Amino acid sequence: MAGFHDVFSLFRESRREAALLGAAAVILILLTLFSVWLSHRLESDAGTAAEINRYYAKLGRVGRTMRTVESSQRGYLIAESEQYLRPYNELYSQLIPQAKRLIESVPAALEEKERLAVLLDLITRKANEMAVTVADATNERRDAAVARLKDNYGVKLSEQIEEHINALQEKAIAKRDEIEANSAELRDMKMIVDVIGGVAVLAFSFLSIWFLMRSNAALSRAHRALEKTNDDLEDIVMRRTAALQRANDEIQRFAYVVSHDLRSPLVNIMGFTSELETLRKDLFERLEKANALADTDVLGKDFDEAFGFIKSSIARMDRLINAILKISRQGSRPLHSELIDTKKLVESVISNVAHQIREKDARIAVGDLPPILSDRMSIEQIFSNLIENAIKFLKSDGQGEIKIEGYLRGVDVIYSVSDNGRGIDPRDHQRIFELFRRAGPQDVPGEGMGLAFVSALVRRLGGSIAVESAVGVGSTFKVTLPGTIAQTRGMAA
Amino acid sequence: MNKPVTIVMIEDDQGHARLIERNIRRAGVTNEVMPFSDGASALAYFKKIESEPAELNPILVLLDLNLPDMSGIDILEFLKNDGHLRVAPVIVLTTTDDQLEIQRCYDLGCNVYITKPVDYEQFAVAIRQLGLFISVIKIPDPLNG
Ligand SMILES: Nc1ncnc2c1ncn2[C@@H]1O[C@H](COP(=O)(O)OP(=O)(O)O)[C@@H](O)[C@H]1O
Ligand SMILES: [Mg+2]
Repeated sequence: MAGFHDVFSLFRESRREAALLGAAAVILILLTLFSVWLSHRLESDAGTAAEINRYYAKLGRVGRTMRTVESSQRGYLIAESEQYLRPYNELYSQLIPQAKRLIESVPAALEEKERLAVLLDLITRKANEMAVTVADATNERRDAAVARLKDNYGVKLSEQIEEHINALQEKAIAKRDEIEANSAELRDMKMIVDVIGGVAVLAFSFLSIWFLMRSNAALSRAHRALEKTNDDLEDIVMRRTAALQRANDEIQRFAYVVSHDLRSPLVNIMGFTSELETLRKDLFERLEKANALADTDVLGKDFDEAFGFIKSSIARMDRLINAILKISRQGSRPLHSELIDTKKLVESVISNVAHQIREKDARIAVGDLPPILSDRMSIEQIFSNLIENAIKFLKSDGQGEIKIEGYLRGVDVIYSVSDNGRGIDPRDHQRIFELFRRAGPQDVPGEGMGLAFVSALVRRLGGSIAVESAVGVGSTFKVTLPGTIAQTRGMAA
Repeated sequence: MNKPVTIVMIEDDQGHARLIERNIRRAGVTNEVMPFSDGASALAYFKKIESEPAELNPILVLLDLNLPDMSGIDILEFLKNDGHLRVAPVIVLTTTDDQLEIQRCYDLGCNVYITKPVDYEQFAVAIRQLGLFISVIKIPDPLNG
């Protein structure tokens, strides 16, 4: 039974392994998700940093543009030369749009919208101031323009603008540095997570391989154990069969020896009873001669009665012993399989009991009986016992009818012998198949061994027998036999 | 002058032995009957007379197959394999009517096989016929014939 144990422990083991592998998989998935999240985070931070850098540069450019325009404006006012006005003309129109774009492109992380609005406002004002000044100068109102230059309004605006830009740039740099420092930390963490993940994957793989190898080994062990169990089982079945066969042989031998040995004392009883009978004759002759007794006739009758009982009992006992002997002998007779024309066989059986049929004035009908591959002697005995019974137990009044029929059912052949005789009480349907058991009124001679013999034969051929009967109506005995020898054990071909 | 045949009767059942002897006598056979009730003592006797010339001690064996200590078949086998005793007629008398066993006895060289019937008339008739057989039988001389 080692095999079964192995299989069960394999199941238990594999459940534990599955739980372990499942846990490992969950850990691995979590690690992977974490690593992916970190990558995303790093990527977006790098994006933000780059954005901040671009924004920083734009801030610088706005400042530079503002200063270039301003110095061009001043140069023009001081030198009164149109050539100084060229940069002003080129860049002035770009100043406001550049500042506006700045507001649009400021990274959200910086939260600088308000300050940039202020810056835009300052730049707008500065632009207006410069535009007004340049317009005055161009329209021959130079004095007004120079006066405005001198009141420092424009310079103050410029200073404020520069201050704002510087502050904004500082803040951007600080933010970028902060993001970069944070990114460095994240990168370290990601490295650790990735290393752990890698190690976990390796461990997981080794674990799986180990489990696989182990379960493989267990499986092949279980397989081998199962194979061995199978072999053992076959062995056990073979041994049991042999033991059964031995027991069967023993019973047969027992029945044989018993019935055989019972005969010996019977020979003596019968022999000496007969001897006594001879003695009785002598004795009575002498008594009569001596005339010692007047009523020798009465005495003689008593003697004869006693002898009669003894002798008939012995004869009956002898018949019973012979019956047992016959059945036990039948059990050890080898069977010979041959194709039997059952209809022909039944007809010959009927011809053997023709005078009994005539005596009872019975009608007997034989249907189409399928042939069978079986032991001829057994089939003959089965039919002759059943047919003899059918005749024997017909009612004394009315027309006796006996029918013998047969048909195929699957691989089985079923034969039936029916009569409209006296029938059998349902209580006796089982009993009549037992040795020496009879049923109904005991007005017909017989030992009650016919059906026991038949059922032993049928069983030996691998079949079965059943009776359907109602008292006063009739009986049907149905014999089911395997149609081929292959299904019958112990059949010699 | 030949010594008359001794009837060696190997039969464990005293009743059977008695019935057999009675019926032999009734048939007019007067030969000496030497009874043995088991196989071993019969074999001992056979071994004793084995060396003697058969005409000094002619025997006829009545053998039961069902002996308490051995099978009568063994005794039959012994007799039929013995240089001197082989010629002795053996009559197997048993309760068996098993065809295989009967055949076996004939194969081993038994001369007559009689089933002891329970029916005493039949039994008596069979034994008396046996007596007739015994009275006419001529035991062959192993030295001259
Ligand atoms: N065809 C039948 N009709 C009525 N009774 C039957 C029939 N066959 C058998 N029996 C009953 O079964 C009993 C046992 O039958 P069986 O074993 O053949 O013994 P037996 O014929 O010697 O009585 C019979 O005594 C009888 O009572
Ligand atoms: Mg019967």
